[in-house]
Amino acid sequence: MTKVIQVLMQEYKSTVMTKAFVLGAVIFPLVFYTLIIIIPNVIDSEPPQLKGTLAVYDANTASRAFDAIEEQLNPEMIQAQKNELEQLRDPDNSDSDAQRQEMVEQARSAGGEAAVIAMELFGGGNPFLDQPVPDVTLEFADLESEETLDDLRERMQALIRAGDLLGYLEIKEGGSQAMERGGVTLYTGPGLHAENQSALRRAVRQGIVESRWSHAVAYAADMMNMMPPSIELKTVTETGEAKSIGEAMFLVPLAFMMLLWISTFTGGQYLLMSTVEEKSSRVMEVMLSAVSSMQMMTGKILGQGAVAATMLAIYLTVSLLALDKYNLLHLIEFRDVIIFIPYFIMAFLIVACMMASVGSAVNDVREASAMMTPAMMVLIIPFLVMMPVIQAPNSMLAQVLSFIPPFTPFIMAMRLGSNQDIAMWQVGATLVIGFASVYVLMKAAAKVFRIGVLMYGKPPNFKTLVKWVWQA
Amino acid sequence: MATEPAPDGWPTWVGLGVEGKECMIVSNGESAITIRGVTKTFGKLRAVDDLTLDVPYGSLCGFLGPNGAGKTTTIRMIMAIIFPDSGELSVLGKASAVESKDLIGYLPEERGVYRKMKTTEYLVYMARLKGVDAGPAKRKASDWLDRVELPGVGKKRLEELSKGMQQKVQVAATLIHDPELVILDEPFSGLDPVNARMLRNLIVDMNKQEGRTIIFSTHVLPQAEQMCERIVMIDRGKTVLDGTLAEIRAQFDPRTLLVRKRSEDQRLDLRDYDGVQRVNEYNGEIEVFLNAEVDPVQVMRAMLNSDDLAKVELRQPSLDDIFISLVDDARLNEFGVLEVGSHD
Repeated sequence: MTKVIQVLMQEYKSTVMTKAFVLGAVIFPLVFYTLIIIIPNVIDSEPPQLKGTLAVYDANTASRAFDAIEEQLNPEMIQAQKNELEQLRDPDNSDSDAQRQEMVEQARSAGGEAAVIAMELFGGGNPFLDQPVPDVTLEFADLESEETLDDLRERMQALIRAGDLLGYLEIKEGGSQAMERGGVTLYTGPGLHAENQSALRRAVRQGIVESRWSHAVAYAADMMNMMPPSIELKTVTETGEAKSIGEAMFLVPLAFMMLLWISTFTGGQYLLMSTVEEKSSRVMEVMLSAVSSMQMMTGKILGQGAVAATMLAIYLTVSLLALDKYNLLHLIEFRDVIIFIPYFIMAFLIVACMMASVGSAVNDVREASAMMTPAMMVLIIPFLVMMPVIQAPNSMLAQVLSFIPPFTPFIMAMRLGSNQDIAMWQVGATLVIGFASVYVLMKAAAKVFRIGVLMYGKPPNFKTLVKWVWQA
Repeated sequence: MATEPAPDGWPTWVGLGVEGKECMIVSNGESAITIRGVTKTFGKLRAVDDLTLDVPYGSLCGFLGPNGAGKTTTIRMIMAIIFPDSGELSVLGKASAVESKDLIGYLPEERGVYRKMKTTEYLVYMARLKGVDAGPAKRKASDWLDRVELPGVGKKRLEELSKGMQQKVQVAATLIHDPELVILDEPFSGLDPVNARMLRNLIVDMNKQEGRTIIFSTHVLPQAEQMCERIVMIDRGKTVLDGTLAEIRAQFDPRTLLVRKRSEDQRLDLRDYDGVQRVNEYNGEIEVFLNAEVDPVQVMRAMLNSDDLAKVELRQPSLDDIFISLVDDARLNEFGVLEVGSHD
């Protein structure tokens, strides 16, 4: 055991203490996730207050949107909505869904039908909710005598250039109803912050929609009731817990799968490379004078397993930090993370047995790549079935693949990350079958390793490897 | 070289030739390595064929044979790196070297180092693998670097060292844990004459002064002849020679005379003597090779009766002569079953 530990420590140290590992497996993910955390803070820096005069030309005299747009830019209404939103976003507020519904009702009873409809239709409230309350005045831009629309546009543009106008909104005849581009145009100055510009555009659009609704039907609320409702899906689990899906439906299983894949295959790749290097540099026989081939292989696998675990810990920690940053930590259940660990060990051992066998049998990396191709084609299958498994974690496909050893850990990682409960008997059974297959694989790998490390010359084919397993 | 009787109460004394000097080491009569009827095949190739041999404790044994004779396969089986198909094998009293690896120092023919490791780090790692504690391992690493004449390279990466220096580090790594049994497969290959001499002295000292059992394979037969008390020669996986140098020489009749003329400008044709096969003259001395059927003493007597020669001497067969003779004979025998020498 002492010798295995010595080999393990040497394998771990010689991999982790290299610039390649520090750069590729530590610094890169740290920088990547740090950027994920920092960039939104940098980008989401609050834009300045939108201030100035917006000139509006509306050719549709019967249904002018002026008032509705002005309402959208009403500072008092925006401030009120901002206050409500803060309450909704309060993490301590466990009843935010019910409260939101209540707020919608309140807004409707207060007469803000159009605002509520716009909020429902566009999936959000006022566009200025995440930036300072604007101070925008609306003015009519009317055609002067003998002035054409082109002349007016030029005049307004000149005022924008001079800084006298914040913007100019031009709604052509029928433009408020028209879906095609060019019916409504918003001109703003070049110095306007992109988010101010975007918010102004959304406010204008919501104003136009509100205007259209209020002029089209007498009772907007009745019309709204006829619209297809937005239905939030919730799943009742065996334990009685309900978890909303949506972004979590893909994010967590995908993350589980990717974490498993990256950590195990990186560790496996290091194992392959170090085995090929030890063989090609003829250091293997020196080592075998001190340790048995089984001790050597075990030490190497455990050492690279520790490397993979280190990587997993780094990626997992930074992922959790990133989720926490976006208040998405609730998407992961602690129990699933615990169950994930044995599947990680299983996945690594499967990959490691394969890599150790191939590494011992070949003479160089090029031969290793050629020999790895068929094995990789098998192991890529979990990727190919990723979408159907994530969408239906308890489907027949997912359940059957869970019991086929090379796929077991990868499929189970995706299923565990899903929003559906996985039967515990399946977890237990897949663990038993998976580790039993790992035992058989390790025995076979040990035989191939023992013969392969001292074989030089033409690399063996698959048939020869099988022969080694049976003869040794 | 004579074999002397053991003192009372002591085990058998065995003669040892080191650079022409006589010396003694002790053997307790048991074998450090015992091989009985071992066979190993690779596919259709029978690399080792019913091999039987013994290496006594405390002996310095040369393991010789032509390329492909099965030396490395035998050594790998001794080291339990590969396992025999049939037969029995014991090392240091254990059924397998797996149980006694920490007592064995093995320098393989195909040897490399972890090129990125520092020299001391490598030596400490190898020592730790062979059961030496961390503290003593560092001290031993430093001592061994001095002993193989590589002081000051401890902090250098192995890739920075020359091939010869790397080889000396490998020797140090083989011996750092003070093994009871040392197995060296072609230890001199790649070494310049100075380092070869250093290694030769090291091997002899370990055997003579420290009593370690040493077995080494080599193609440099004069070196084996100078160093070894015992020779094992195999060919085509079979033992063709096994015994002390004296025993082996005694089995091969001397058939070469060394002759010196009275003067350099003397004209002489020794082929005129009966029984002379061929003559080879160099540096003022003449080698006279005799036919198999003649009695060398009679030819010597005939030569000494003439006044032309200053010296006539019967030369003992060298290991080179024996090796070439045996291998050539074996090649002539299509079954490769040449039984020469004493087998235990």
